[in-house]
Amino acid sequence: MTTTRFDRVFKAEHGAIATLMAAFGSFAEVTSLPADAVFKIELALDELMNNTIDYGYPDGDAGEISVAIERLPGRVTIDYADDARLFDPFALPEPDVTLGIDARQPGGLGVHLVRKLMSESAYSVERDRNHIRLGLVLDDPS
Amino acid sequence: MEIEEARRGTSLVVTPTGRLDSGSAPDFEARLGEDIDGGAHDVVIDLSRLDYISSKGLSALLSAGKRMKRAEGRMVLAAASGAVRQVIVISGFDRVFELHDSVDAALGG
Repeated sequence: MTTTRFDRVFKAEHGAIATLMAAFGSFAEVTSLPADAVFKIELALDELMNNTIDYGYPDGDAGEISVAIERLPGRVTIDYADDARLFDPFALPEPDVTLGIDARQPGGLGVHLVRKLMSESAYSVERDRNHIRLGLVLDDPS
Repeated sequence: MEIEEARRGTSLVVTPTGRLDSGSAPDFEARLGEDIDGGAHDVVIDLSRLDYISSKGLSALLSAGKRMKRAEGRMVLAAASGAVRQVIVISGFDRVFELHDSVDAALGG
C-alpha cells in the first residue's frame, strides 16, 4: 500500500480533543487500521493533548498543537508538537504500579500508558517547540 | 457515555457504556460518589461495554475506590476485555482492585 498521511493543527483547548478524535477516526477507517491500534493511538493522542492543555500554558496563553500521522506498511508513526513550555514528559520517573489503593494518588498514569502502549517514544526540542515522536508496530503487517 | 445500574441481591452492578475519558470521567465519578453516599457498599463495575478508557477514567475509578474504602465497602472490577483490560493491567489497577473475569464471578467473590 502507499503511504497515507494525516496532518492537522489544533488549538490547545479541551474542545479540540473530540475534533482530533473524530478526524483520526476517519483517517483510521480510510487506512484500515486495526481496532487495537486505533485504541492505542487514540489513547496516546488523548493523554498527550490533555497534558499539553492542562499543564503547558500556566499563564493562560493560547496554544497550538500539530499532529502528523503516517500509516506505513506494518507501522504507524506519530509526530506530535506543541508550543507549550518546554517539558520532556518521558523524563518523569515511572509511577510505581505495584502500589495498592491506599498508596495510590491520582495522576501520572497518562505518560506511563503512552510509553507502554507504543513501540517507540521519544522527545526532542525543535525550533523551540516540544516534539514527541511515537511509533507503533502493527501486529498484522498489511 | 451512558451508565446503567442494576441491583443484584445486595450488590449494585454499574455498567458504563462507551468512552470513559476526560469528557465523561467527572460524571462517572460523581455517579459512583452518589451511589456510595446513598448506601451502596458492594459495587461491581462491569467493564464489558466500555470501548475506551484513558488515565482520566482510571483516576475516576481510583477516587471512587478510595471513597468506598472510607465507607468500609467493597468495589471491584469485572469483565474487562481487549485493550481496556490491557490499560487496566499496565496501570496496575488489577492490584488496586479485584479484577474478575465476569460479573457473576465478581458477585460470587
